[in-house]
This record gives sequence, C-alpha cells and structure tokens, in this order.
Amino acid sequence: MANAIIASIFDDTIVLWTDGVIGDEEFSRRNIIAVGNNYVIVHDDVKTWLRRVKRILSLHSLSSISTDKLAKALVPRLQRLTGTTPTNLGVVVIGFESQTVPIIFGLHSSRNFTVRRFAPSIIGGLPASVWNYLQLTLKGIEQDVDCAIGIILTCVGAYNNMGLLNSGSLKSSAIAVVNSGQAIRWLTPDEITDHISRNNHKANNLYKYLTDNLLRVGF
Amino acid sequence: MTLAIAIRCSNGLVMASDSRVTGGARRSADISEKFLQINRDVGVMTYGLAEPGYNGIHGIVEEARQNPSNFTTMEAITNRARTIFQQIYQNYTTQHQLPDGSLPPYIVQQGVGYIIGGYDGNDTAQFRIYLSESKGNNFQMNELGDEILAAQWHLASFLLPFFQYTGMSVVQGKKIAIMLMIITSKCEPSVGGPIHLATATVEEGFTVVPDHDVNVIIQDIQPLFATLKMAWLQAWCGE
Repeated sequence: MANAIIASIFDDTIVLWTDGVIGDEEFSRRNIIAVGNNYVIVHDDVKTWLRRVKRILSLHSLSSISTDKLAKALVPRLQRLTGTTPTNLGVVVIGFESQTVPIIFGLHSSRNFTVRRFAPSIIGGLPASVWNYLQLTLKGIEQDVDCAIGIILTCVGAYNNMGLLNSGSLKSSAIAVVNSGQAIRWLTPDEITDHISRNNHKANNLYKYLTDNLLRVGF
Repeated sequence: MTLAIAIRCSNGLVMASDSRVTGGARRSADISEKFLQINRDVGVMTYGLAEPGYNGIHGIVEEARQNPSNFTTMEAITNRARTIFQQIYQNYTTQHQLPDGSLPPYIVQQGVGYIIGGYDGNDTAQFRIYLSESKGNNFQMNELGDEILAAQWHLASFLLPFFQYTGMSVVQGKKIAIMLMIITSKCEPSVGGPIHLATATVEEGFTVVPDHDVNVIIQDIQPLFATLKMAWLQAWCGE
C-alpha cells in the first residue's frame, strides 16, 4: 500500500505529515529529501523508486533553483526514469515562492508527471473528504502550528481507524514544520504523542457536547 | 460516485442515498433512481456505475414481481440477487472491454454496489442488511452489522459515531442519515443532488419516504448544523 502525505499551509509556514512506511519496512523520514532550499517527498511505490529518485535529486544543477523550476526540471527526468513501465510513483515538491510564500507542487506517474500546484491538501491516495470537512468547519479560527498539527492528526487518526493506512503508519508518523529560510524542524515522538493526547481530549469534548445538545433538540 | 447509507435503529432500518451518478468519462447527473421495493418488507438500493446499478435493481424487482413466492425470505432474495447482479455486471464489462481486454479506468475505480435491507419476517424475524459489491468480476453478498456506509463513505464513517446512540429510533435515524448526506455533499463533489430515503419497519414494511417528507426533515435539522459547528469550535478552541 502507498504511504501518504498531508500538507497544511498558513502564513509562511508549511506543516506536513508523512507516514514514512516503505513496503513493510518502517522508517523515519527517508522519503523526504532536501534539495537546496526545497524539499522533495517521494510517495506511493517508495520501495521501488526512492533510491533512483534520490540519485536524480543529488544533481548539482537542481540544488540552487526555485521551487517551480525544480518541479519542472523533474518532469523529463522522472519520465525517463520510469519509461513505459506501469508505475505508481508520486513526488511532492515543497518550497517558498519569492522566499516567503509556501508553495507545493505534485507530480505523479498516473498523469505522466504533469506538474500540479496544490493548495493545503492530502496527497497520495487518501480520500480528501475528512480533510475538506475539517478545513470548512474550522475556517475562521486562528491557524497556528499547533492548530495545523491538530487538524492533520485528526485526519490521520480517522483514516487509521478506517483501515486506510499501512499497518505501522501511525507509529512511524513524521511531522515537520517548514519555515522559509529555516531548517526543517521535525517534531519529536514526545511532541507527537502530546498532540495526539490533546486531540483525544478535544474529541471527547466534542462527543460530550454533541451528545448533550443534539439529543436535547430531539435528534 | 455516491454515498449509500444503511443504519440499523431500535425499531427498523433507514437507507439513504444521494442522486448523483457518474457514467463514463466523468459525466455526472443528479437524476438517478436508486431505490426500489422488492416485496412488502425488503428494498434494494444501488451505488456506483449507473447502468449495471439500474439494471441490477430492476432485474431483481422484476423477478420478484413475476414470482413472488420465490422471494419470501431474505435468504432467497439475496441468493437470487447475487446471481442477477453478477450476470448483469459481467454483461456490462464484456460490452465495455477495451481492445486489449482490460476495462476502462472509470469502471475499475467505481465498480457497482447494492444494499438490500428489510425485515425478514418469514424466516428470522429480524431486520437485516446485506451489501453486495463488484470486486474484480466477482460479487460477494455479505450480511453486515449495525450500519453500512458505502461508496464515498469516509466522512460519514468519521462523523457517524458522534451522532448515533443506543436506542435511537427510525425517526432519529432518518435525521442522522440526511445530515451525513448533506455534510458529505459539501465536502465531496461526487456526492449530491436530491436525497433518497427509505425505511423498513414491522408496521409499515419497506417504505420510500416521499420527497416532500425528506424536505421537511431537511428543514427540521437546519439548526443542528449550527450546533455541530459550535461543537467543533468549542472542542477545538475551548477548554
């Protein structure tokens, strides 16, 4: 099964989650590669393609170009790499436009690696409906890193309960915060555990509030 | 695609579906008929590919109309339904096969599914729900537990535990089903259009809820959407 990515953008910050599973092997973060000031995430059939994609990304000519130029430069290289073999390979390019505006591009073998620009979204095979619902419902509240992580983990928990993630995905979750001009910051396992605990508390509060109010109005 | 729901309540079943169908090449329309009554107590609904879906539900209903004595128990209905659904799907896939023998991606991705639900009065005296979906070229027919959420089910599956409760009746079940339909249609473009609703109770058998009554329920539950949003904001930002 594929691994997946959830990326959230607000102001000048990108928060992203990846499950970090390659085939049956749990790992941490090996599918996220720094390329100059950008980050490239490899997803779906990572086990087959990661090593070869990393070789492409190590080219010197890719290390000092803008995010959109990097995405475009990867198109012919990935097409040559995969050739006509049926493939399930996705690549997400993350960076900062004009050095301040977060920007995400996606390329996938199913679309011949056509470059698509993404809004904050779920990438890599997970359904978007729970994500869309949370974005709509919580629209208007002040977004900060904690809020973005909370939303992402709520989605991850939901999809895990539905059986949509690889076994081991939750345990090997990696969450990163990317700010323009700064090094990527990975949350520690303790920080992730703390966020999950806070989310569980919110879910309990939500359940209690709904039970009290929906039943009282005759639901 | 669509959203198909079947919920077990304390006094019966609620089945709901949206109207959106998708044919080939991502065409969609909101005019589909997805529910039919097989006999007094049992009904069938379909989701996914429109053509085999319609043909499947009409096929089982037509046979039940011609030979009602062969369709008196849920076991008899589901056994025959499985054969009909399988045959219709095989005819459909044969018709739409590509020159290399493969199927178009939209057929592989969507498939077709059926939910049969109702009161099995002549055999087990229980409310029963069955799900039959195309998996490759095979159709399984599985009896499922308290609810079935099919097709674009993910958001409904996430929200349902917050809504349902032990002892809820068909009256509450209808409100929950409609709420899930409306919320999903706002977040998933392949779900939408008028909502089809049906219930199965001992007193009234399988009954398709008229559009007017569905609209009344939609009006009744409007305050609940605000309550739900408040609940999320309270839980997210409050203490």
